[in-house]
Amino acid sequence: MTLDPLLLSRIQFAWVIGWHILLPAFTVGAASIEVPYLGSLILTHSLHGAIQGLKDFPADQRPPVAIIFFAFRIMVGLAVLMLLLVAAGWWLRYRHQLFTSSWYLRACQVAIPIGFIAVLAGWTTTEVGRQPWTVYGLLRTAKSVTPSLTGRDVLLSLLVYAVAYLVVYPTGFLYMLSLVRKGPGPTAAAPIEAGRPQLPVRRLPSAPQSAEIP
Amino acid sequence: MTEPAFSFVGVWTGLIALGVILYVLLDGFDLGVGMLHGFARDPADRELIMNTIAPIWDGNETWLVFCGVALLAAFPLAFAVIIPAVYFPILVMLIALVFRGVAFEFRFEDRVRRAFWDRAFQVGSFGAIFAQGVVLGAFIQGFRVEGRVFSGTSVDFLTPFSILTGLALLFGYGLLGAGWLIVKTEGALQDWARRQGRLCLIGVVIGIVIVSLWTPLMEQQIAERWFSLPDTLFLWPVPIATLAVVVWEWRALAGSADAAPFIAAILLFLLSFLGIAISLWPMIVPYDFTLWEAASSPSTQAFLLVGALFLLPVILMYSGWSYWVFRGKARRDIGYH
Repeated sequence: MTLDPLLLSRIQFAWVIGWHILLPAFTVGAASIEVPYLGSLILTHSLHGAIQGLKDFPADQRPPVAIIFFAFRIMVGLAVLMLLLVAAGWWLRYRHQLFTSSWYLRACQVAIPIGFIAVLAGWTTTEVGRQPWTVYGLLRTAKSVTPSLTGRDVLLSLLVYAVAYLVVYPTGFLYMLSLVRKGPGPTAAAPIEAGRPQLPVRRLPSAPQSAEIP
Repeated sequence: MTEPAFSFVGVWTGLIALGVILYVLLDGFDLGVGMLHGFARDPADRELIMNTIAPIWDGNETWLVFCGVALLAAFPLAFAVIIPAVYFPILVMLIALVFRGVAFEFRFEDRVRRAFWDRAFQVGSFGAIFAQGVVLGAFIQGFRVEGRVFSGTSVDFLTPFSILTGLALLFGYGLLGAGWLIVKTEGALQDWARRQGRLCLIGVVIGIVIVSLWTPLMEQQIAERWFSLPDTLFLWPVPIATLAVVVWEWRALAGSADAAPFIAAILLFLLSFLGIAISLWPMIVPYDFTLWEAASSPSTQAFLLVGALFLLPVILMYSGWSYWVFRGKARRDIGYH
């Protein structure tokens, strides 16, 4: 796998995130930044490859830095938060307090959306980070637009997608909420509508008692 | 890099043709069932109809993805011209498939609003079929091309001819769906499916006749292909066979055979496909680019073929397996979802 070198130079401080205290090496716009090993390993497949800084690229080949700067931090920050939650869960489990610590259960509940937000932030990082290229070094995004599509066409189709998702997702969400409100019911009483009959083979009273029915 | 000595254009043409045929036949019948199921009055019947396609319907759409990706990778020029030209019908098809998929899952869960989801499923099926028929019509008509790009507008697809093919496909998929229901059901519901099948067959015949007369009038090239000697002698078995299959289908729908209506419907689709292929060969972007002109490089096609040859047998095996597991008549007391 090869990564877009420009994208990597933009986010190389990545490797700082978890190590913020150990490696205060982050700078945007320095002529070249040295981050030991990891960045160069990913990009050049060698431990001592040189990574170019943002200023090594002409101005018309740089992406909007501010968006990537924040999107990347949101993604990694949320990842750290999720890892902390996991660690706290393990600790409580070890202390046999996992199911009784209401503050922790509440925190898990509040944390439900952050996985989604982290994914969106990560997606934003890659998609904005590779601008202005669609195919790195070959095809610029501005040149890869379908010639026959007008702005109105694109706006119209975008609105149609937006409406479809605004109908489908809230409907599913409301339905899930209603399931949660109802709470877990007696599952055995549910009528068989799908799947197999609950008892594929009924043991007849006359059958020998020793016979094992798998 | 040395180019392979062997051209893979023929292989990829065959694979895409296979993909299109499998998609049209397989998703065709489940879309048709989705359309017909809304016309069944009894909720218990609707339930049974849904259960006949529940185990297999989403696997059928695999072939749509296969065809799209294969066209993009093996014939990129065709993809670049055709897809922008049918941007809006494809948008409608995708949105319809989204609603159809969601409705299918929700109707089993949400008993309170089941009637609403049933309706959404039917409307989604209608929309997807009609949009596919419109794409077919636009494809047969050809596209405005300058250089190597589509030079028309996003509403070029909308013509009387493409609307006709859209309507014809509704009847066509309806016929396949009715054939499937005759295979999978019994008694009164089967009789109902036979009546729906006959209605659809009438629509299909009208559609085939109009398209067969309209296309030679529209394109000189197609007229020459079908009406110039000596080619004519080799080609006329196709319409004659079509006529024979139509008669067989009509009788089978009126009779008592379980499988014959579905088999005849499949044959009718294969003959129509053959007819369109004869009319357009060797064009992939009708009247502008041949298969060879639109193909990607031989090394690209060879590389793709390696992946496809691993993937295709796997898809065919698991699809075949799921049809085998759920063979036989659908029953009211047990369903699968």
